[in-house]
Amino acid sequence: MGSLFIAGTETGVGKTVVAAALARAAVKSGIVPAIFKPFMTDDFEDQLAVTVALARMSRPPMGRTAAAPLHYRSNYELNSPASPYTCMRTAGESVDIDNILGTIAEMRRGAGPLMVEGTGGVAAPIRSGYLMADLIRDSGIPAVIVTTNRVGSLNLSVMSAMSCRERGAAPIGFVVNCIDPGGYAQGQIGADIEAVTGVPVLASLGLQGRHPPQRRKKGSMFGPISPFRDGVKVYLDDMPRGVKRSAAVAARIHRGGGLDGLARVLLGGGEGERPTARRLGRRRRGRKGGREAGRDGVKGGRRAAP
Amino acid sequence: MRSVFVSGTDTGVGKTVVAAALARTAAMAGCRTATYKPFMSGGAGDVVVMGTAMVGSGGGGSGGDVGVVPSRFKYAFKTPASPYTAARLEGVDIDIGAVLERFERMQRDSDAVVVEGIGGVMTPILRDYFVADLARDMMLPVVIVTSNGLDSVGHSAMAAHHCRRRGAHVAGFVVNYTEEDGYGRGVMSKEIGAVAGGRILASVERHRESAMPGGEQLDLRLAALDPGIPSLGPEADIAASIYAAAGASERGEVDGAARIIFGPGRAGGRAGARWRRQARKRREMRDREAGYKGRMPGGRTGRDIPGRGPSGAGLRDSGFSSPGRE
Repeated sequence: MGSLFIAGTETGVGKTVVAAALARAAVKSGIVPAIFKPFMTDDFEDQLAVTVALARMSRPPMGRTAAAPLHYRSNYELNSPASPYTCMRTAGESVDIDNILGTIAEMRRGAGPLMVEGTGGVAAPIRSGYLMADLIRDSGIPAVIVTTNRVGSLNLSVMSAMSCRERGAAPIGFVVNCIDPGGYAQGQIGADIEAVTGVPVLASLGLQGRHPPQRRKKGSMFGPISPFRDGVKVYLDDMPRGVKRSAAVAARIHRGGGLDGLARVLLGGGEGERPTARRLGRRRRGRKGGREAGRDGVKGGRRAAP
Repeated sequence: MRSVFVSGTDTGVGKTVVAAALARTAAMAGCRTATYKPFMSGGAGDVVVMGTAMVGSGGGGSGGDVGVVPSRFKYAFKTPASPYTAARLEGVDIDIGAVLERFERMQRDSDAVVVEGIGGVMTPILRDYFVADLARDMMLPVVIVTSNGLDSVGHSAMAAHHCRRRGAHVAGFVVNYTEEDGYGRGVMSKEIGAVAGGRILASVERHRESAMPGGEQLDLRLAALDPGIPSLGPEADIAASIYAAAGASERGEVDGAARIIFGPGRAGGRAGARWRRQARKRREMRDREAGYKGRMPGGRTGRDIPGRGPSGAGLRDSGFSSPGRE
């Protein structure tokens, strides 16, 4: 199975939402992904968001069994919203990189694809002199960088791509999450990032990554979400608002089909096979005509939902 | 030759406020100060801020050689995007040579030029020419403005790294405390030193209420300075930036940075001295190619440059005397 490191240019660009949407795509095709977030800050909100996104799936596809429990793991729980280095230093400790790399190796041996979700940007310090980009390199997992279309994101994208490349962790591509309606046009930012950095844009998500969650009719909510932590059942109504919103956004991204190419690579990649940019590019070009079809598919899906 | 290039980690970290505060502090200390924003996109707010923040600084053409040159821009784009993107959308060809030429002219006419970049240090101007390259080609030390937000340390590290990699000297950082619940002062100074490898020259309290003396008069005086600059109008954020810049300058928040940058001290320590040697070599090489004979680009010899040669008493008398020299 393939594996993917989901990094970002900064906090809040939508790494979790992208991971959740990819996890959803995997579960839809009957594969259970594993997600590893080495550093967790927001009191499990990310983990909840992914789980809820999966639980909100309408039905497992015909002939397939329901989603098996998702492997979600985190090694460090940071007690304040700051970089891992800052948090650990404040607590008088430091991060054990070998421990993280060991967990990654162990999780890669599992049956499903592994997604590693970074914290903050690719330059977020983990230890003194050791950044997130170094972890990407040492893990040996191909990385995508999630970025946005807001004004100023071109600078961060260029810096992130170059920093990664210089540290030997060349990213395989960008995922542009167009969350700013006043920012660059969707096609514009993608073309500019590709031209300036030379790194392909593998997926460009429209404003579906941003809209407030659609109102669902009462009763269409799901009951208890699958047992998720130490057998504790989690109820959707008890979820914090941010979690519900993230889950809804992830579901919308999944329905929109923007990440399908990436998901195929993640799921279809053989053991140890790197999803190369060229393979992705071909798929993306192949999908170009299918974008309209994808949109129609969304409509159809909505009609069928109730 | 006491000019500086103000860049930042990101859009909206407060480059303009810091640049304007630096310019105002320099002008108040008696430097003939000019501000230069070569690229603008999506409105002329920054230019107005930089030009206006200096208005109440006691300069304004009131006495002798103390004066204020309002900010100018070379390229103004309507699209709020990087110069590379905006120029292509609007069908403009960017001529870096013209930008540098105008800068040299401004530097000749003033003691100090405060140049403000656009976006961050790696915002593309051409496809393979970034803001950091512009700072290098202007041969100016770069001040990186950063916020105290969650990603500020990582972004500062990246920005400083890319500046240095592209041959620009990083004089230091200015932290703009925009976030009330972001990193505190102690954390920032430690992390910037440990992770980004630089020192903090100044800390600006952006969220503090500021008032500028004679604020009502700004509009009129601005129009008197340069009819080309649009009137201030009711744009609250522009006015807020002006007040913030003037306030930071009045409270002395950028005094330390101004002393290092504009004063006779050696900015940047040993690394700065090394960088200046390299810059001088580059400048000499360029001058040789351009046919100068032993003269600096401004038509002045090295002896005439304020604060440098034996005749350069200008800056030493200008209030930026470092404590060590007195």
